[in-house]
Amino acid sequence: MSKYKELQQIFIDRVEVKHYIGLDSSILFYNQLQESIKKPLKMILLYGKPGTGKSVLIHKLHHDTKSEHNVYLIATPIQSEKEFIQRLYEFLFPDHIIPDDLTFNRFIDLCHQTREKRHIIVLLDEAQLYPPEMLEKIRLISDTRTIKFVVSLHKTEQEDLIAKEHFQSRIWETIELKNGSLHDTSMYIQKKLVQQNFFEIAHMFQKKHFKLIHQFTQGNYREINKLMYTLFEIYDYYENHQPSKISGKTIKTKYIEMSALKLGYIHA
Amino acid sequence: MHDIEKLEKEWRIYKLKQFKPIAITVGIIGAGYLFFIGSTTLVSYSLVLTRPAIAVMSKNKIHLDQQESVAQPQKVASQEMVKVSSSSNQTIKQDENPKELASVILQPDTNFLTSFSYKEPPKDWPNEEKRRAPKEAQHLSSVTTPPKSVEPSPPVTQHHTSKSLVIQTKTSHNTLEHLIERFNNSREPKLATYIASMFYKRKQYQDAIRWSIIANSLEPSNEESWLLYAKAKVQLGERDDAIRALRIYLDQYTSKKIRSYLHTLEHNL
Repeated sequence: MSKYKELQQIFIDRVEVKHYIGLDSSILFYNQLQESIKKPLKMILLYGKPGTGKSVLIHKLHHDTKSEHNVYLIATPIQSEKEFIQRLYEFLFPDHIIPDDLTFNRFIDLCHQTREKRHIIVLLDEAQLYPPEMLEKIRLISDTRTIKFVVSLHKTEQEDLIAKEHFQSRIWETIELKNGSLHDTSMYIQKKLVQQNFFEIAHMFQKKHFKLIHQFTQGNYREINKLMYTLFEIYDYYENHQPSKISGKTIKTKYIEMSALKLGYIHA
Repeated sequence: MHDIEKLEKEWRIYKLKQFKPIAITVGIIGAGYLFFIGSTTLVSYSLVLTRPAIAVMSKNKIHLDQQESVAQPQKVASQEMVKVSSSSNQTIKQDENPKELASVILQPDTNFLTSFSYKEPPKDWPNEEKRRAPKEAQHLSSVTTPPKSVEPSPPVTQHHTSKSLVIQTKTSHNTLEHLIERFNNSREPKLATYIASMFYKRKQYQDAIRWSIIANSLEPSNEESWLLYAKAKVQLGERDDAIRALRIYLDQYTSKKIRSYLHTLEHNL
């Protein structure tokens, strides 16, 4: 695989703990979240625009705390109520076989019975995808105080409404994730490259490049990934067709702008 | 793969559009500037033309000492005229002819030169040699030894510590030592290649060869390590070794870079 193909792979948007980049802001949010799950809360709401790093944060929290705090993660929303209850039962009673007659009411009773014995934390990623009826059930389960939920939501007007209607009275703590600053953008790119030992490529980026990338992506990590992927796609093309065009010691602003054109951040 | 050439054309249009308002603004500013320059030249020219007329108009309001002006030479009179223009309390000496006045206005007042008169330095000032000698030496010589026996001390360069440029160096985390230490822990082939390239840049070709071999042993397909090895060999004058290595690589792998560099070496380009 060519160098620029490898670089493209680095910036593929995926949620993997090993690719977590510790930035000033994300470390702050992470510590805040860790503190929150220790508190006696029914629910914790983690929200922000798409691409602000909610999923990575929630996965990292699961990875780091699952052994200490009985933390479980539901990364993909479960649409069926029965399946959802069964999954929670598995989390709460890992040594038991799921009973055939397990209904929502029966599960609530079981939660009440075990309240003094066992507590678990369930992380729900992409919670905006749960139907309103399911959100209502989650609310009722959280009332038993046996299961604490950390709910990760996209921040849109409609989804805010869902959060307000179903969770507002239960949520005691909210953490809002925001886009990164210019410093975060530059650190994110540099650290991603250095993490994969692309030191020379990391040195090819200058302050003006980071400014431009930040200007196009507004510090949104998903958009940064997309832009960087496209940038190295262009570099890969030139390496195979016109290597002289990429022979400089620094990244060319032109190619960043071409990437932005391709992704529709700017228009000709 | 998207059409890069089409994208490049789009980029050209984008840049053109980006620079269009700037070009227009610069054009407007330039035109404005030229207009301003043109108008100020006209105004100043008209002022020069109208000034004698103003002087004539105000002639009745100002006390004129015509007798003195007649007695003094023309040059002195013109100098006095300039002085009057800067101080309203003084009496204006004016010629009868306005055209002559216009030409006189351009002459500067040179009276300020009198303030730069040369003054003899005080007698108790030290002579040049004494002033150049350091104060400590002067003090010691006056206390312990007679002045004649003191050898002239060499001139001491005065260090302006407050204004001197201080160059501070800062060690980076990517120093070679740090990178080698990091490599010893991680055994990353890319890191070894990077270290080899650092040595190559520093013209330490033997080290570059050593590290490119390390990188190569960890990842034989890595073209960069082969290239660095060959380049370092060439720098050491072992061109044949470089060509042999590149041929071995091309027997097993394909690389445009390696092929291109081998072609360069084989044809002495």
